[in-house]
Amino acid sequence: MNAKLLFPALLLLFLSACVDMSMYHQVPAPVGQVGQNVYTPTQQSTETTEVFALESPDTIQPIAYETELLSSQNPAVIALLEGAQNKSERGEYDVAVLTLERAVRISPSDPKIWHALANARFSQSQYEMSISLAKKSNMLAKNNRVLQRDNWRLIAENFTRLGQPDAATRAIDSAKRLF
Amino acid sequence: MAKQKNAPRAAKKKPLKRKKDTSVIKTVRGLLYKVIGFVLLVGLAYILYLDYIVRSKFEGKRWELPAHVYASPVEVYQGLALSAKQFEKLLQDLNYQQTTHQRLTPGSYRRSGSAYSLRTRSFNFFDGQEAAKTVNIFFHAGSVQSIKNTLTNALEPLLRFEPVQVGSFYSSHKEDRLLIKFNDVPQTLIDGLLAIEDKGFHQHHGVSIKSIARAFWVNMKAGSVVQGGSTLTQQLIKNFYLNAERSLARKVKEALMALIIEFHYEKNEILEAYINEVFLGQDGERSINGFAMASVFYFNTPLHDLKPHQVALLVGLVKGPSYYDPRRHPERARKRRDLVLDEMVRQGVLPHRQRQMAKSHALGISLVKKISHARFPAFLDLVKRQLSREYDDEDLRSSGLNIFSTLDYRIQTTAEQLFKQKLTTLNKKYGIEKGKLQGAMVITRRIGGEIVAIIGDKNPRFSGFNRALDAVRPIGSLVKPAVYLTALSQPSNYTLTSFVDDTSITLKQRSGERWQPQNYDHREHGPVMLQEALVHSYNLSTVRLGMALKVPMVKRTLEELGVRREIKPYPSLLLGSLSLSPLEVAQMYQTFAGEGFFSHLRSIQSVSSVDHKALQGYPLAVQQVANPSAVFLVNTALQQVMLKGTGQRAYQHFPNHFKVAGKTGTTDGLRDSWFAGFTGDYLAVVWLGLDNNKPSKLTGSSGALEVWSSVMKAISKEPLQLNKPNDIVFEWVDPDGYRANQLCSDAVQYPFISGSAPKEPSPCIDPVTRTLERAGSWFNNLINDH
Repeated sequence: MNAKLLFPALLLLFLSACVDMSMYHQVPAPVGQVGQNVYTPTQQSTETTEVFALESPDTIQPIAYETELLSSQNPAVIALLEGAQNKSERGEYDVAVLTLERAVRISPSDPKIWHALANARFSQSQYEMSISLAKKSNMLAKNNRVLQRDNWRLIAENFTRLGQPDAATRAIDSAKRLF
Repeated sequence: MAKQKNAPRAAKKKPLKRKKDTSVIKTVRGLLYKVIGFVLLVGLAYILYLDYIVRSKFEGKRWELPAHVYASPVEVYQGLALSAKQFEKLLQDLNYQQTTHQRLTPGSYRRSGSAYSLRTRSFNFFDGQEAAKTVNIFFHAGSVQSIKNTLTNALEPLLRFEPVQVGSFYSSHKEDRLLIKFNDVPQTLIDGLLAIEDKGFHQHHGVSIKSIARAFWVNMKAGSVVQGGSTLTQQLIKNFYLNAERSLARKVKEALMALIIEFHYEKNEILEAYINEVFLGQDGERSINGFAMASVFYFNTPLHDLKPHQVALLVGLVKGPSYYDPRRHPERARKRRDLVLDEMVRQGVLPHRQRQMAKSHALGISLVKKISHARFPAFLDLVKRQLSREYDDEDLRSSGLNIFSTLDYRIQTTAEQLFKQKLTTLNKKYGIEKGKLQGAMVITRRIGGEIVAIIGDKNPRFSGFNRALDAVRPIGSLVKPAVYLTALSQPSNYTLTSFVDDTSITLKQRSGERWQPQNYDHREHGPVMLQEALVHSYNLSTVRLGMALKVPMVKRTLEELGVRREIKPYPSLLLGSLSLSPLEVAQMYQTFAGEGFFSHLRSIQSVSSVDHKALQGYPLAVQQVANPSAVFLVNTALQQVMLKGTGQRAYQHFPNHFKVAGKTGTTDGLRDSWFAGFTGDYLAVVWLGLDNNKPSKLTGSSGALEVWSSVMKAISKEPLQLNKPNDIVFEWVDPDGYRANQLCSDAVQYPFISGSAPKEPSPCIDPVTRTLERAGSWFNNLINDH
């Protein structure tokens, strides 16, 4: 492994000196350097900066905060999600689902709503539908690893209930791969 | 001895006569008793029979209540793209009254520039009651800036308006009524009603001898029938159980039943039944029954919000709803109303002061609500069909169901207007026989598949053949995306830059017949990239591709996309010899718009019972049926269709940066003109053609696309932003299909499923770069190796 690594590394170092390889020029983030602070509207924009530790090699991209929407989540959607949560807690899943649908109509690309729908369906023992909804949520939750992990875990639960342990294991693995 | 003998004989004669007399009397008496007994028995049986009728109807399902269909309620929130002008139109559609008063009643609003103060009406939705609210709404730059609740002084996150009623399903009797419970009836109404129609209501037992006698006396004096002696109870019996037949026998039956009903039920129950039953007007085919319905019909106001002068008018109508119709005979109505007010004061149920105030009011009759019971026939048709799977026809028409549909009132009305206009224009422009061009349109929400509008006829209000649901026509090139999806689902074999031969092909069918398809321009284009073949809708390359894939595979794709009709797996399928209705086409394209997720198209959100109990929800459901990555590739091609291909004309309507995706479809001899396409928020399918299946002279582009663009431009607010799946990478490719980079001229970036991009480098990449690239990718692979 080391020998394999040596030659291309040397070659790269040599070539990088002569040719501008803007496409492949990667400066690894040194420990201690300031990273980029991503603002959410709920955070106050402060002047303090966060420090990123260098992660293990397989996660080269910087960790994204929970910024599933760079714009703030619509207060209407927040109100509806809360309402749906209340109804779910009371066991009124049918009604909760329709409330969540109102939220979807307002913000169709908000993965949190789809995740909430997937949860509601799971509570109603509608496992196949819950899986589809969780997948849909994942499709929309590009930068939100926490949500993606939650979706995969939910999918795994659903598969378990459906008596498909292999699929459940695969889903758990997908969740693990995120972090 | 002889004398003795005579005496008894003489004595015998008398008793014999008496005996004869007694026995006759006895027989007659006995007979009389028997007759009386028999009559009494029959009478009793009859009374028991009447008793049974009275009770069973009173306690059973009393009235046939029509089902009401509502449009999707408008929800207003901060940031919603809605102009002040559109908002005001919404208020008018909901029959809100503009006012200058400081105090706002439910259903009224004040306007000051782009700021509105209004009080909403409460409404019972499936997920709970939406309370009435008093709010201030500010608009700015075409959207809602803020909503403030004036009572709590807090910002209101979401305001849901009551839905517009868009239709009803009536039983054959076409009675319209709104049920009201006794406790919700305003006291003024009860006082007024009793004062005018039945003063002694609480005293009598169903029939009032006093009233009958008084009426008799009055009528005698007048020489004609000027006063009725019927109690409210009798009136109820007459209307509820019997008909208006006037005969003595009927009067007797009525009286008996009135006594029976009073025997069994409380005064309040009888009064409640009366208030819900009484006939108070006619609107075309439907009759207005009950005070709650009448209140809405005449004043557009719920009963509990009526003022005394309005209540008095309704009470006055009881005597003769046609004669005192306030719209047709306002003077008579006014006189009658004032008479009622006077009588109410005279009997002490209305304060004297209020009478003057009441009389000073004009009648206050609202305009008849323009929404008839079937304003959107094509949409209602679908609602009925979807409901009839779960409710039988009688229940549907008589249980008073509240049906919350997915119809978007604003979109439907806008689409109808533009659709009509466009068809008239096209009809003229292409010299099609006058008025013969027909069409249909289906519009759905891109995410979730809710149907927001349906048009079934060139004259959308016409309730006839519903082309959106029932015009089953060959779809032509609309089938092609399914062919290409089949191919692109095999990334190791096909990508957007794979080449197919657009050269002539002849197929021999089993019958021996030859099929030689042609391109639209009758030319061969040689080897073309997959994307190009789809973008320009080439027939020859599509057929070649489809045959290589095998037609049954394409059939399977169509089924996965959601086509439920039987598909014949013949080669001609590849060019669209598959007949579908516009709705079915919309279902198929919904899966593309849903990026691989299938959602059943639905027209109903939920159904509640007459007393607002949630009965059934029809919720959002998605199901992944196709590889989202393959669908992504097709969708990017469909965007190119609009930018560079057969759908270019759309950009005569849309700004250049507004991304849309779609496909044109034209059939043999220009008999059918199709377009199916979607933006960020909506999907729409348009079909144009002639009912007699003659050529319409329109292509998908010149006809259906024109209609589509015109409508979508007006309703769509979001450009299409496809979600790029994780395993899609963009690579540069040169016109010959080799891997290139951005420095190469003529190179274009295409999306590829990871690992399927062309590997062979293009000559335009110089050797040094090529080497570096190879080294770089080798390094990358090592890093990523565990």
